[in-house]
Amino acid sequence: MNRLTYIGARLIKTVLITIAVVLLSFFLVRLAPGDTATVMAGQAGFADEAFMKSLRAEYGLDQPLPVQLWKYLSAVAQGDLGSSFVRRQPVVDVILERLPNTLLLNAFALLVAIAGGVAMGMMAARRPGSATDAAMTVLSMLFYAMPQFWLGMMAMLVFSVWLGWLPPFGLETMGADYTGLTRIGDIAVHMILPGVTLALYFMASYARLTRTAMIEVADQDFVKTARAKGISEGQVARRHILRNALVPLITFAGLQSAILVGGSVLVENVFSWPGVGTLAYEAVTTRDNPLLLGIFIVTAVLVSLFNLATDIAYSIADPRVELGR
Amino acid sequence: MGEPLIDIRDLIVALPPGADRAHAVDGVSLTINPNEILCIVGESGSGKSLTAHAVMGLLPRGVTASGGQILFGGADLLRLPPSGIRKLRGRDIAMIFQDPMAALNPVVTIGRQITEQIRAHRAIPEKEALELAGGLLAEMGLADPKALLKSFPHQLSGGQRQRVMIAMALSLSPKLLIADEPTTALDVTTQAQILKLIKRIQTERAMSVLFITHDFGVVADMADRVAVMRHGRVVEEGAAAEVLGNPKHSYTRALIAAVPRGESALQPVAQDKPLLTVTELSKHFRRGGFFSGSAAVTAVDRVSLTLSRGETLGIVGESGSGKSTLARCVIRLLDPDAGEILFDGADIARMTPGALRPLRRRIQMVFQDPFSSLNPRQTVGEIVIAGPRAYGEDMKEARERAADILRLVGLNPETMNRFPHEFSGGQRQRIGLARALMLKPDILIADEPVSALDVTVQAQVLKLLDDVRQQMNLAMLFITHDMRVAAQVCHRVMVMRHGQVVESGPTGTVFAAPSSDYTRALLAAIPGRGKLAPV
Repeated sequence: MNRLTYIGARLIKTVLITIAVVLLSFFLVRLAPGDTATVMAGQAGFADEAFMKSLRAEYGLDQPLPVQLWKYLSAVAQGDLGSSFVRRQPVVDVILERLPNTLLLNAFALLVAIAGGVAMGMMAARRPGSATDAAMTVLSMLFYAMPQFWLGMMAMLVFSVWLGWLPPFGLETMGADYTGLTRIGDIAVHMILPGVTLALYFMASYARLTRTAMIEVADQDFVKTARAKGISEGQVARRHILRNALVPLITFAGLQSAILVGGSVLVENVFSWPGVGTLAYEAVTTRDNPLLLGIFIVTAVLVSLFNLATDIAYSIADPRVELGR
Repeated sequence: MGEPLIDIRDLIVALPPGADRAHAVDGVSLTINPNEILCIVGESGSGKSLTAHAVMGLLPRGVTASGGQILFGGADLLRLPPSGIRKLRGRDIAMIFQDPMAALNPVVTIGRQITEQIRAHRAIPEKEALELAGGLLAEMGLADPKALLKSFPHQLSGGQRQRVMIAMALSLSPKLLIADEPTTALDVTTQAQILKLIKRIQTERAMSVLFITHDFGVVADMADRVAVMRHGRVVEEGAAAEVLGNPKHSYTRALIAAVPRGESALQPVAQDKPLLTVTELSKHFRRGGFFSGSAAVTAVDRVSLTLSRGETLGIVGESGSGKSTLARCVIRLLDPDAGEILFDGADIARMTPGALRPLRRRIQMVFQDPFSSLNPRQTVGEIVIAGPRAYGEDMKEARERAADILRLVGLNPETMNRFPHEFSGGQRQRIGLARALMLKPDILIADEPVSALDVTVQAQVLKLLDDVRQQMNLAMLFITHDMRVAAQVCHRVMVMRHGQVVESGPTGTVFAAPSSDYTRALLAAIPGRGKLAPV
């Protein structure tokens, strides 16, 4: 099957998956007791029956469920995810404002995790059973076992509060109104703590995966062929062992990017990073169903696209993999 | 004779502590002269392969050359620093390996893999190296070298890959080529071509070859001189004609005797009522998925056969001939697309799994790879007893029968509590056979049961299969790519190619007067044919 047909087929599947996600989440958020009207009334401090009724009428919550669903579906099909109850802004605008921040943070975390993890794994695999190997194992166990929010708070405490090296939270310095390069530098500095916190957990997995894969590949016949050519050990490791060991990492990187899109809620909240994660948290606490649904849908589409990208990357990295089989 | 090219003196290769013996190679002295082929012959564990690896400085981790000398060009290879031996590797001494499927990097193009070696020793641009590589591929008899350079290993057949390996090894015109069982993983016809190729380039380039093999048939075709190794020592050494014609050591005689001669001794069994009748069986494989069209490959094309009690039918063919697919259809591991399989009067070709279940017991299979076909987490007892237990046999009775069957296949019943990894390849194949026999089958299907085994072990397992067939009055389907092996155990043979039957008949007739060119080619490919004295 050629690559374009495959991508087309996968995109059609992505649409089907998105419809399923919309249906599921539409009913799921309605399973929780209470609705937006209850929450708003609670915040306003009184619960007049007439006020609740007018609120519900305003948001269309008094209509039968199938009608609500139909209205929502036809709106989504036109790219309209409705309006946020709480913010009184179109959901699409709210999400699009936050999405770049989340993608930026996650891309950074992914890079740090892969670079650090592969380096650790290579060091460990060079001499299995050595002191370096043991040290790398302990280190990755530590990264793996520490809860992310705790790690984030400790990092904040050490590097911001005590040492004062890095800003503790936010996307950029409030009120400084930097522009151009200064602004990029400012955002980069703000990104270090949340990014590395996010990355450490995954870095541990990459280190273990790389170590195992490299030890396994090092035993294969073609590595012996490579040595028999008379090239140096470093060339054998890089061109032959690592090149093949990286293939399984792609699968994991794909999984990780999917987890990161929805999973950075904790870290974003700890560092007050204005991303989709903090937005999702707000949407849940304020019962902002349209916003929550919108986040679900956008996340689902992104995850599908990441999976597609993973499969394509896989077929490029390993010529034996045929797309669509 | 002048200076030898390589002079190995009292080589000792030590195994890591905790291995079953201290030295894998124990005082081996050998010389390789310019412009000759030296064959080292021996079984697995004889130390032949480690001797060759020691010359390359490529011993596995933990294994060390702890004594002796390997003199090459005035230097002792064992005492060269790593950078020194690296300069020789690939340039002066090159090596090809047993399994061409695994010996090439799967994610790098053929061209890059060859040029990597050239450019490791010569400072030339990639483009120039690629031209050299293309020329070498053409010299190896490979068609369309330009396209090949851009291909990946998985797009090539085993024979093509081994030619690529040889091209790579020859890319810097080495003085010595080490070939470690280079044809063991290949079909017989491909093996014959590769052997011919190695012989041709050796003569043309007047270089030396160290050829490692376990098969005296191959030795007869290739060797100028022979060294026979056993338990890490050289037991006999001499000119090929001398060792083959007049072997002095009893072990050499046993190795030579174990080589099947490709002459049939078995007479056809009287065909009464056949137990199994296969008529016009076909099987197609489709590729493709949800959105793509499907392309069908016909693996088995209207094949018919009959098989009676007490008879062995050999199905001979190369990889891709459809012989294994045919067997898998007969045992209904695959569902045939067309045709009839009459087993004891019932058509099992389209029987439902439920109706088939009571009959399954009566057709059993022994698989090719004794290392992957036994569950490593189950004891021999569990493996052997699982079948009858699934058909409701009493535990105590099953254990008693298991002891008998293990004795029958030549294993000690006390092995029941041990795990498969504690056994050699030949023993594992016996365990696989015991597992099949426990179900008291009427038909035994043996799919290349000896092709992963050494020649001497092959002979033992073949004899065992034949004994068991006689004792239990079994009907046996014997699948192999090796005509020599077929000759030893089969009453009749059926030659398959591209899913179709090319020829069939009593083994003696097919061997003495083959009616098709393809069968003649298969027979001509038998290594050492006509060069080994009859037993």
